[in-house]
Parts: sequence; structure tokens; C-alpha cells
Amino acid sequence: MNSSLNIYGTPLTSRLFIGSALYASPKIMLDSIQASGAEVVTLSLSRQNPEANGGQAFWDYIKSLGLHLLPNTAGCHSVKDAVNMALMSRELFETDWIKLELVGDDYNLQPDPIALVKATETLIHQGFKVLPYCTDDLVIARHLVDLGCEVLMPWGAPIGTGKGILNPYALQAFRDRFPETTIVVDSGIGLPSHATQALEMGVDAVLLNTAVAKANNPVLMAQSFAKAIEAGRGAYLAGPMAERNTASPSTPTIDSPFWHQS
Amino acid sequence: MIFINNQPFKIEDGMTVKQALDLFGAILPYAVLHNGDFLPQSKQAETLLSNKDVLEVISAIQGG
Repeated sequence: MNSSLNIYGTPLTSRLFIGSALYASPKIMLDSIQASGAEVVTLSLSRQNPEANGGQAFWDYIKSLGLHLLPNTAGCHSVKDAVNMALMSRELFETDWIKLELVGDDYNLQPDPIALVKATETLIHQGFKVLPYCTDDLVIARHLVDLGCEVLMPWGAPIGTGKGILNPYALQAFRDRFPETTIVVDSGIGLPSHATQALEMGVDAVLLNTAVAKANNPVLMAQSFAKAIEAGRGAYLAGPMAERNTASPSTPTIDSPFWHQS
Repeated sequence: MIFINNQPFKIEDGMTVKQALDLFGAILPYAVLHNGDFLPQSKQAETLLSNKDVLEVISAIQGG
């Protein structure tokens, strides 16, 4: 039922990308990621503190999962910072995938669309496969696609809010305008039903972190998201019925015992 | 004197980035910014440090 997802030539079975942050413990992180069935896990970079063993434990945990790594450029506010972060990530994680995040507004962590386009151009020229975190702005998205992005990652809602898809119209337009581009909703997903909604709209995948990590039972929530995403994809492939404004009986009434022809 | 991850760090003349990071106690794997620019691992053993240089030693952390 769930036809394969393709990220820059890499086929994936799961349509859930999961983050590695905010979990209460490394064990909960590992159990949740595994329970989600995700094949792509996001991670980031920070200054090393040798007294804390340089983050070696986290790196060992992540490597043990054997998943595709998707490093992000979280916290970057300038093109130079984002490009440097991407270059360091490529060397450390041995992947040319980069989830390009460039913060333009600290209130809602909205991406800076101008810097995003500039950084994307630089990174693509340097051989990166860019997965840009963007808003649902169609014009910026067109620039990103024209530069060579095969994947776009529009927000559903601001990062960490869990509000779901705040503008379904815009997201549907995004899907419809870029039928050949892989669309991954990144940020704002709070509930499995939000993910289902996205997949029902034809979005290819969702990326989430807080919704699982901050659930009372992250492992159960991860499993629930996996099922919700499968359901949403199935519904999209099945093709929903046409919505109607008036009632229409589902049970045939002609020739029922109480039917009277007028 | 240079700065590694915002901490002052004493170096000797002719010291390379790799030598300074070994003394600092940096744990592999890491990536490096040298005066704000990415310095590939292949260049770290040959790049000489100057007074007031700034190094950032970066490693993996959790991310969303």
C-alpha cells in the first residue's frame, strides 16, 4: 500500500522522519526512534565539551541505530553560519544531506526566505543535497526547486508548537504546485491526526520531534504516529469520496417495508 | 594565546591546530572552525596557529 518514498535517490519505506532531541533519557530516545519505524533521524552540532566526553555517548547511540542521518543547521541566522554548519556536518556525519534551517525571526523561528535561497544556492554548488525548511510560500519554494532542491520541507506550524497544520489551504496549494517535488512537512505536528491530515493531502512525509519526545509515553506516541502516517498515506492512495452539503442515505430505501411511492 | 570554544588557551610558537586540539583534550570525531571558517580534518595538522586565533571544536548533539 505504501509505495516507496524517494529522498535524492534513496528509497525509504517509512514516511516518518524523527528527531533525536528533547527525550528524557538516551534509552527513551532510542526506544522511541525504533518504535517509530523511521529510517531517517535528525541531529545537530554543538561546541564540544571534552569534560563531558565530547558528546561521544550520543554519537554512539545514534550510530547504533543504523539509520540515515539528516543533520540540521538549527540556530543559524546567517548564510555563512549555515554553510559552515553544513560543511562540518558533511565531514562528521559522512552525508551530503542537509536539513537547511535559517532562522529569520526569533519569535516564531520562521525561516529567513532570502537567506535560505542564498544558502541553498551555495550548498548545491558545493555538492549538497539540500532539504530546506521553509514556509508555505510558493514563490520561495519555486526558487528553491529551480536551484535544484528535490525535497521541500514546509512548516505546518512553528517549531515546537504542536498546533498542527495551521493553513491547510496553503499546504494543499504547495502540494498541487510542486507535484514532482518530495514534500515533507517539518515542524508544528503535535498529534498523530495532524500527520494523517498531511498525508491525506498528498504530502509525502512528515518530520517531527517534540510531539514524540514530550509525550507522556514517547514510545507509544511514536508507534501511534507510525500508524497514523500509514493510514493517511493509504487514504490518499485510495482517493476519498466527494464531500457533499446535503445528506444522502447510505442504506437503499426503495422497496424497504416502509417505502411508499408518492 | 588563542581561544578554543571561548576559553583562553596557551600555545607555543609553531603549534598546529591539531596539536592545540590534542592538548585541549578534544575527542574525535569533531569538526573545526578556524577564525570562523570551516577547516577540514585534512588541513588541521598542517595549519599553523597565530596569536589570538579562534577555534571552535564541534561535535554531534541531539537535533530536531
